[in-house]
Amino acid sequence: MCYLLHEAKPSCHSHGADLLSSRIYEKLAQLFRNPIPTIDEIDYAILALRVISHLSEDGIALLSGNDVAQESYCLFHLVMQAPVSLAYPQDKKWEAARLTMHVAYKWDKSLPWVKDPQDILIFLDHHFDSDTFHLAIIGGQDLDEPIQNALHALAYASGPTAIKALEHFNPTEPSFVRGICHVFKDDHPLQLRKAALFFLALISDKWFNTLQPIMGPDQMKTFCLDWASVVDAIEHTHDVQKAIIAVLFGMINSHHWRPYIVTEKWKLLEYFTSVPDDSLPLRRSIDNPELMDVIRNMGNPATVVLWLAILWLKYKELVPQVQEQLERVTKEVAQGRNRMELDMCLSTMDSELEKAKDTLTWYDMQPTDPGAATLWTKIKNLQEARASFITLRRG
Amino acid sequence: MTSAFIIDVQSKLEPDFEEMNHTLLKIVASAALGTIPTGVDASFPKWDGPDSTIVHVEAILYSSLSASLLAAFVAMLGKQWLNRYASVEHGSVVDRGRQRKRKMDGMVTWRFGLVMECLPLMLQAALLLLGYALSNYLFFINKAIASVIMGFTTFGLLFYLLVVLAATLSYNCPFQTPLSLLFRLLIRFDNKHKGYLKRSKRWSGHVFSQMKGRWQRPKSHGLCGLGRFGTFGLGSPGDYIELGVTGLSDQAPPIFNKKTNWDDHGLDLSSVTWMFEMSTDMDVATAIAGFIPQIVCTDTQTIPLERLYDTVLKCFDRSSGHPILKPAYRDKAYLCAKALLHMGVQCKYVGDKSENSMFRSISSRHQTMGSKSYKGDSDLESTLGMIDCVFGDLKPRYWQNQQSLSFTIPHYTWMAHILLYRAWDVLGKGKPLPDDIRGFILHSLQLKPPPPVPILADCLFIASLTLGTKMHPDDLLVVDKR
Repeated sequence: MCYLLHEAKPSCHSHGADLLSSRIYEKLAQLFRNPIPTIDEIDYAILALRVISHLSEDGIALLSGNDVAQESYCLFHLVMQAPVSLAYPQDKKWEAARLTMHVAYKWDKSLPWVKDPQDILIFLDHHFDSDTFHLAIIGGQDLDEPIQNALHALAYASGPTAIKALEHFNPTEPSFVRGICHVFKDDHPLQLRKAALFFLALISDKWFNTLQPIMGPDQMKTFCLDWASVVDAIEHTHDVQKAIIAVLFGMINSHHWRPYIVTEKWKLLEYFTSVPDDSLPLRRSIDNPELMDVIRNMGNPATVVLWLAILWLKYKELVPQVQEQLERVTKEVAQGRNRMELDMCLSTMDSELEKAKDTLTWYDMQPTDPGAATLWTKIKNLQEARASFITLRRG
Repeated sequence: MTSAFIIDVQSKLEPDFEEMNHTLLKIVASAALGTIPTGVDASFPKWDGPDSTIVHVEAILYSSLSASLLAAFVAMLGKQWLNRYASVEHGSVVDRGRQRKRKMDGMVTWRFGLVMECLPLMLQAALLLLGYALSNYLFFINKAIASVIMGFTTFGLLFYLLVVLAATLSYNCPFQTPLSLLFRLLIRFDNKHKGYLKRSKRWSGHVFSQMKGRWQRPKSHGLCGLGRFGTFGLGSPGDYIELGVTGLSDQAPPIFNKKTNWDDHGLDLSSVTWMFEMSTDMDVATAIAGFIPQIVCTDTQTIPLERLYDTVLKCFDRSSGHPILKPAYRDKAYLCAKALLHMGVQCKYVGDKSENSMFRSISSRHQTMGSKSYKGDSDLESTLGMIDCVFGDLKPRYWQNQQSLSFTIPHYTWMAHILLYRAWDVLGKGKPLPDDIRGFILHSLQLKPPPPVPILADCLFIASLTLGTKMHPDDLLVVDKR
């Protein structure tokens, strides 16, 4: 992997300080590429990084965000890959990494696109490490910020390549799990907790879809409470809904986690439309025959209806056992006192049908597009599901 | 008067027809009387050209007249030159001050005084020539009358020679003339001015290099700029011919599009230093020292570093062997110390050879000034502490208790600016970043609320220098580097 700073070179500079910072980054890149730097050189590099980091603060804004953030991101990789030596010991390395990460991902307005998350994950893992925590406490150092910056990078600036690379990462290592649980605590800044919420959505499959639980029952309970607390604290934008439902599907599909989901949070299933059709947690959940009984046994009719609505949307794609369960339960509800609530299933299907048709108009110019074919299939499935639902409801 | 004598002597340059007529009449009368003239009286008058003495006298008289007229001509030119010098220029006070200084420097550089000294010399020469010609002429006509003139001329000449001799022998003699100064230059007579010939040689070399430097400024550290050649006029475009002199090939292009006018900076420097050297009143000197941190040092030759240091020293009571600041001199100490530091650091930055002797001289007698707490006056404490670092090569103590430091914004801004120069100098010499500069940066980064952005920009520039980033010297001068 070779990160070239010229890739990150800004096209133009509006300020003298920006031009100078660009020259500084070039020098820093040379320095961290040098396998045998001197102690002074490393000290000066860290001093320069401290100054740049300070000048990138929002209140000062001497350096324009985009260019510096991009250059800092490239430098971060060089810092991480530079071999540790007597002149460049571990503590200096992590300080340099923290500073570059800070400049790159401190501010949401200019987040460099993560091309390779490996270094960031190593950085994150290091900061979750108990020894690092211990040293930070002794040194009066605040580790929230570097963790937050790393989570910002992974959660907000990861493209398909980075997400694919995440698949090779094992987030269930005890120190990593402990770190993630720790940042969800409500004594941490909300921005950090929010970033953690988004990051959790990326690794939810590896966390929740395990044969053995990755933590003890008490920890799971605490974690679910913390997660619910974050969910309550932030505004539910579309992206937040997507992250919430991804985690929630992961939790409800896991018999280890399911008992610890905060009861009120089941209603978050209402965000099911935010999740993509090909979402793995969704797929696993709707194919899980245990779930219908579990949800019915919770004694919350609204949740049952929500679950029915989710299943009816995917009616044609369900495994026969679940399909049969769905028809049975729908029939029961239709004959019960809460039959009016089934209207929700119908309206959801109508709404999804409408949405699919609207989207299809985009493909009118290219009817042979695979996306169009998928949509045609979805519309057809929804129409058939709708017809089946109406038949069942009439009894 | 010379003209009258010239007219009188002029007649001697032509044949004397009256004399010839008289001789001929004498011959005719003799012939009529039947007396036959013999010898000289019998020969017909014949003119063989003017007498050589008359020609000699006339030539000297003309020389005297020419010298007088030349003196008058130069005097009139001098009047014109002085009129131009005295003319009031337009523009701001700073511009007018610079213009005035530029004119004055021109007068010094072009030896206006020497040219004006030639005027009496020419008149004296004319008088001497007139005396000589008259003596010679009258000696030819009448020796008794000639002796009077010769006596006065000799007396005058002897008096002048005595005066010159006296002035040559004693520098304190008030009867100094250009001739006596010339003699002193040549014979290196006076003890006080021993080695004057060498000095004059050095001086002429210096004048030459100054003029050369003016055309090729800036000169040290590869200071890049555009050389200027021409008269030092009003700064109007017509006064300059800009030469396309580029900087060193490894020098980075300037970051800021602000062209430095080195001539103006040079003028400011020489004006302020001239005022500082001329002032005899301590209060005036202190007021002038207050101006110094606003100027840019372009040349170490004129910097009164030692005098500034002495002025700072005077603010301390050294009777106990250790300098203790006199409370009444607190403000004066601050202003002069700041001026000293400003000049000293920039002087090192300019990097002239003469800096070494000045710094050695000051360093050899420097005693720690900044070790005492100045009752919360962080500006004074840091300034004296920096003097210890620069001149005493001591560790900065004033950063030891950063929490207690509280600088005024103008002082802090100045500190950032001057420490950037110091960083340029120190790092350029391959030395590590001094602790006082590192302390300043770290302090600036920790301040809540943060210091003004230009200060932080200076920190960025220092950080850039530590990494060996190439920088253009013009960029250092930009106060607000945003």
